[in-house]
Amino acid sequence: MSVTPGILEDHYDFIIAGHGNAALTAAAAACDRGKSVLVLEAAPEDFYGGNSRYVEVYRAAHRGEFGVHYARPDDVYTEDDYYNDIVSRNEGDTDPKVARVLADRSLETMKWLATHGIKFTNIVFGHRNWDPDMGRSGFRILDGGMMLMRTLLRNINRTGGRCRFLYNAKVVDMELEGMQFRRAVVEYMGSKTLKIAGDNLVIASGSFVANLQKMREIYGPAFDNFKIRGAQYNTGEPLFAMMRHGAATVGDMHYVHAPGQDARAPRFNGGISMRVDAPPVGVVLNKYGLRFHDEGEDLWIKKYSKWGYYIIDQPDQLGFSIWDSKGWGLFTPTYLPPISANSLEELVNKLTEFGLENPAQALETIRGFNRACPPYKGESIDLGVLDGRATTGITPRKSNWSIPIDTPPFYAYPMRPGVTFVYWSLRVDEHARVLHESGNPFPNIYAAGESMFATVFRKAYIGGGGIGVGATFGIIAAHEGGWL
Amino acid sequence: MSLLKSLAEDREEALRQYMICEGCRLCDNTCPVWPTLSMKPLVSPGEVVLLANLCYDHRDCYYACPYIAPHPFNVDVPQVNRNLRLDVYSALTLRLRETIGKIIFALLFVPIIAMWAIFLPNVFRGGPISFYNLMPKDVILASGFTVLAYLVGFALYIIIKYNSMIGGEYRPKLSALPASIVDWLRHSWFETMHYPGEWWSRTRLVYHLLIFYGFALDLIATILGSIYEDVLGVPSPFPLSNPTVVIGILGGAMLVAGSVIALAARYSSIKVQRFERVGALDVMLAVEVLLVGATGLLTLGYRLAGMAPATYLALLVHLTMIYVLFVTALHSTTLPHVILRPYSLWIYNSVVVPSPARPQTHALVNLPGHKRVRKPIEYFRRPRR
Repeated sequence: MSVTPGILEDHYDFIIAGHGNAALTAAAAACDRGKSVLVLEAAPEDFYGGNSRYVEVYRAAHRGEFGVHYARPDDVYTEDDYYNDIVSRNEGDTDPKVARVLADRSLETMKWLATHGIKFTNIVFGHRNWDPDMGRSGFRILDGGMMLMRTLLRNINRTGGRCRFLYNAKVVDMELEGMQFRRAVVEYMGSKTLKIAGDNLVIASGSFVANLQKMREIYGPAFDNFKIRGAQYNTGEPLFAMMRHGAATVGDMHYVHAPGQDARAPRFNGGISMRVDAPPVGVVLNKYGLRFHDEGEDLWIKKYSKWGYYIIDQPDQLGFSIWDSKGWGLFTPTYLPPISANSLEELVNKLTEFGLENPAQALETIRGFNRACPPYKGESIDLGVLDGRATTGITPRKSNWSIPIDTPPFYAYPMRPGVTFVYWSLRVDEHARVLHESGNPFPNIYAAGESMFATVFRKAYIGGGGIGVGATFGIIAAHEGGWL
Repeated sequence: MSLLKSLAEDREEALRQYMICEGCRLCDNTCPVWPTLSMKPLVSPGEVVLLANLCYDHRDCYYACPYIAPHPFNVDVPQVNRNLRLDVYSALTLRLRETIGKIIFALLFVPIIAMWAIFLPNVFRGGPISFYNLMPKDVILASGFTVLAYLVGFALYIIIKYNSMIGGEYRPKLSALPASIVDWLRHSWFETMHYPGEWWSRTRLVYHLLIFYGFALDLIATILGSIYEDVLGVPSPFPLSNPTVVIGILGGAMLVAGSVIALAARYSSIKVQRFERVGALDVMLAVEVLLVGATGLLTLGYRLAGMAPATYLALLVHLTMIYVLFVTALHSTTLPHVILRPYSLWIYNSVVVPSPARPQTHALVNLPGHKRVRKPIEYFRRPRR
């Protein structure tokens, strides 16, 4: 039930900053224990949920008991497999205790979500998120993040707890006594300041990638060319407030998870419909018409999140994904129709409107690429396997799926970095408690979801891990609070 | 705004929204629209019309959508499909509110006036109760077959027009007919509604089934009656124990119950997804179904009680209501809906289901919560202290 400041209680057992997957699982778990909960959401009620609005996949260890979706019927995905995936993808740079909890609790968390009304399906071949790895370990949340949050909201007060929701309320600071959390300082409707007392604070407010001032400090003027794929309310004030109180942080603020986003997308909230998935079927040029990275390096599911990061290093943070009619139908298009033309000359001329500075060089690069492709006789291209169709004699080479761009009509998407989250966050221990720089935990301040994400994922995240850190540590925070 | 202009505008809007859906697909488990949409990279204007007729108006996709208002993309696929269906149905049927429509609509009431004028004196005829005392059997048969022929002709016209609208690649195949009939009789796609707590979206299934099978039973009763009379030689009216009467009463009761639930659901559902453009029409049709069922039951009740004038009067009202219902159904959204819904599903089963481009269906993972569990599971075996 949403409330206004006038009818707030004096004191809550749990104060939860945020309203996404992590916050709502924490709220639901605390309600299950009969606790009083106040959820503080910076966004208005119509726009709650931040990046959780766009989520889809959950990863869980299993023993084949679901029997529906494996590459092989005898396939299992153990807790050790999950843990080893985290360690290997992050090149060993992770907190082993916390990663262990995430892996070991993954199935139990899924069952917990299921008892709160969330439904899961398998991931089938042909789905955008399918690859042999996800097919083995991932589960789709039925109807995605909005349905997850709506279902949790609807079921949240069924078990006797008292959960209240205050929207347009941003946690800007917290009052501590020593290391003990006492009160949250909340900015309501952009101006009014409230102080709300609570026994426990759960920081589940996501990351800070929509904090324009902070991002400009980190990236300089280049940040003005970035797209933020998630909500504009994801400004990270609770994280910076915790930093002022001496909380330890982990990860690198300069390292972002960023797919290529359509340059015509809105600044915020373009979400998944604006993600450019075309690079593996063609080439990607920068604004001077030069290729700069291997488009066919690996399966797209493993590489899509890197393209925005590559584009950050290019002049004016601009890229152009170019392909021809043979590539249509092999990937999911974005919201806006691609720029199309019946000849390459016409196409590159059209692209000058979007910032391409050297169309002659672009033409030369595409023709050079066509000459470097292995002979193509109309065979079908399957992006689900590494087919080894590599170019010869050009740098950088394209390792797979190289087919000449020669069949009109020709298409292009202008691309910008689409920042999703940053591999930087608060540091927590295995009980989800936020750690002080001294290494001791704050006794009653917890973090879940993107706010403690980099404790586990510092180099790369694995598909389905985002919902995992949110839900698992949200539930743990709600279960730990008040016992210790 | 003219109807054709509105159709063109709504098509544009649908094409815009489906391009967003193409890139997202979070909700693609909900109904046959989404597997059809994924068959090619760009949606065509004809395909949009097919998609609108495959949309069951569950609204699950609306509740699952991250792009609904106040997001600037402003996606609302159920709304767009409701608009499109109405545009298409209006383009396919005679337009009641257009100028020519008014004249035709007025002409349609001539038979009712004639019927009352000719047969009202018969109401006070004595003797044993027989419907043929009110109206000769030949008149009933002739008018019935005229309406039937008109209906069949109109249905064919609608299908031909619809085929030209959706484009040549979507044609039904005979091999898919059995599965489509099963889907139609079972209301298969209604079952995928799973938005938590929207009790009224489940009532849609209930009242649709009641009205659908109520009509079916009354149709069976009518055919059975003519078999009894003309083949077996049992003269009407039949006693209460006759299957014809039993089935007829059951069908009538289902019509009454279905239309009452439909009206109740309409006035208690949330407003955000209520479709005001056909609101009055929906209410009118529900009331007509209610009156047809109620007057039918009333006629039967008076007959069994042996009250001759009341029976005849109720029968006249009943026949009038049937005629009005058929006329409004023919010239509004109902007949196109009755024809195009199963026809589109047949196309779906013929073209989309066997297509290799369609992704395989997703299976629900068998977890305890899928049957609602009130008591949450214990996340930790023992609370840590």
